[in-house]
Amino acid sequence: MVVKAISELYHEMLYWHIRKLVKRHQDADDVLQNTYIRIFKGLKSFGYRSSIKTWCFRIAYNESMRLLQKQQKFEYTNGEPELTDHLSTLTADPYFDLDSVSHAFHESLIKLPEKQQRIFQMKYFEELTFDEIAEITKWNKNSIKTGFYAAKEKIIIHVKATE
Amino acid sequence: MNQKRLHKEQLGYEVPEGYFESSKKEMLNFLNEEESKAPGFFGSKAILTITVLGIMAFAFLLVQKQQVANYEINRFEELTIESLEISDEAFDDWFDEKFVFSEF
Repeated sequence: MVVKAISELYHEMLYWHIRKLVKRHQDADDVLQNTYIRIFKGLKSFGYRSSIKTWCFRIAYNESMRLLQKQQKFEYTNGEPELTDHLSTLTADPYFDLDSVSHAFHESLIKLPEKQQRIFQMKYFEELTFDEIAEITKWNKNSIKTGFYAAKEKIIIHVKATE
Repeated sequence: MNQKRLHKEQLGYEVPEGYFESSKKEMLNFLNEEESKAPGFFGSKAILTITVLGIMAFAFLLVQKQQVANYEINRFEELTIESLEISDEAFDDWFDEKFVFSEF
């Protein structure tokens, strides 16, 4: 079974990829399940236009975006915009430990614009190449590079300033 | 650095104990169930056969209906032509024989 092989190789990686996008553990767990279902259903039509790893990550990315859009719509209609705030989302999660975090790094990361944050996390934590990030997000490769170096610069300045 | 440790130390993200093993197992079990539920090759073949037989039965009934309609039209034409040769005196008897009694 191909899905079994995929899960052996990428299960943890896919989880962390999703977790960084949706923040909360419970959401990441739900999105991971949907990702597997999509992978399972889409395998027959997988055309090898990209590597299977990139394809799986793209599905996980799209599923995460779908959840975030749904949450934004819900928060908007229920008049709870404060929930969209990054830090309040994180601290509401029982599986977030603020005390163990490198404060300066974390603070600088959450201050980044959403797009730069995503690019930086994919490059730094998941060690994805610029090509892979472009394939997953469907963003322009050059703007990804620019975004990554800008994010890196901002983080370095912030961390040095707080030391 | 280990992914789990890296994410905890730098982002504060934690996961429940044994989460990766249990979620992987759960997911694969779920997908196995889905796979066994989904119609396989033989299932698809059976659906295809039933569909083809259904279409054939429908076409057969349609042809039958058309034949009955054609028979009725032809019979009507025959009787109308025949009626032209019947004299006015004999017409009532002929009508009863051909139309009224033939109904029984």
